Amino acid sequence: MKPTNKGEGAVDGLIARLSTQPDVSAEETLESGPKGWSNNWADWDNDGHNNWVNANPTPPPGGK
Amino acid sequence: MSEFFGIFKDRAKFIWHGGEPLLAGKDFYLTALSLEKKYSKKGQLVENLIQTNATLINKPWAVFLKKHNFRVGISLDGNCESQNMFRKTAGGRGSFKSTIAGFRQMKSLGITPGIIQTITRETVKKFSSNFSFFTKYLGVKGWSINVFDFLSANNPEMLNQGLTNRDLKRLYTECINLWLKKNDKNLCIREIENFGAGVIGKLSQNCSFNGSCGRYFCLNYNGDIYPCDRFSGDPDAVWGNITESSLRDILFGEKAKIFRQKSHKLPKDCIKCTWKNHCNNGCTAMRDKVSDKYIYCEARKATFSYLRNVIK
Repeated sequence: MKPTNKGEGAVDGLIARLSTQPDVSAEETLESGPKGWSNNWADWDNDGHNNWVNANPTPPPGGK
Repeated sequence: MSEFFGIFKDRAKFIWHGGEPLLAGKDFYLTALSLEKKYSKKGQLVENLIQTNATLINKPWAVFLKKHNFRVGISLDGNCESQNMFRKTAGGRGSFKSTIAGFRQMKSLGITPGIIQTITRETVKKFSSNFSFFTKYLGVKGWSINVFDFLSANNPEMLNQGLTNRDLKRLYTECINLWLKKNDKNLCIREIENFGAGVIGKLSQNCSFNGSCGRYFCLNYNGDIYPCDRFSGDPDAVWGNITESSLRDILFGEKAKIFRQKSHKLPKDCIKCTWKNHCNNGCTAMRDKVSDKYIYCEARKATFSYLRNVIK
């Protein structure tokens, strides 16, 4: 199925927001973890999960 | 609290859930805040988030949440028809009016709550009108879609409300198309952000995409600790109880370790998948008991591909 509308502005906004996120290459595995991931459990944060309270789309400090 | 701040040294994030967490009352949160203040170390970032249906939010509550820097998320499935379909008061009436009143109360004080929109087989049919409701009527710039999955449909009222792969594929396609049509660079829908991250080779912030399951925990009212609230109440998933063991022993204990190993294990199908490192077999709580595969694998792969065509 082809997308119905190009929506360049929306796509540009999405890419800009995601630009601060660490890269994940195709070669990386769960065992090694993508670059930029910490092995220290205490460093972890989580905005996924069963909540979405961050009204600000800018990722929090730490570039997660 | 003392132990918690010893483990999470740089950043501590508390997400208050229920049931309805505001029923605990302001004194409960004042106690929690004073304990956070007492045990946190200098330089530690402490955040409080609360996920509420907003029906109890009046001016005093809104002032309280603002004063204490709570980030607020509300559960709002859409317009009056969608919200009242399943989110009813104890007396059986719809909660839409009270939820919107709470939302407006917060907005009047400058709090912009986040929104979780849960989608069922009934409300999936109304997605387009609810998209307009959020963007035009409420004027929000972002929200999150929660899928009511068919494994969670254990409440008699919710039987047959779990989305199929076909439903979900259609939902995400429709959502992307509406988002494109809206063409607002600041419109941030969590699911599109997650799929978008995979498409452009970035790390998603969402645990059901980035493989971070197991680096999070849920503490229940009775002291039980689970990997997350999606497992809450499942006796097979409990890691331990805070009244019987130390937090450190539970979080780094054998049960937690086994859970993490299991959550990171990929079925054979995943190994060759293009999206492997951006999907990580989805949410651990939404995996087939036999195959251990993410139940919405088909919809997820189709959505990644669809969005890739858009971004190209």
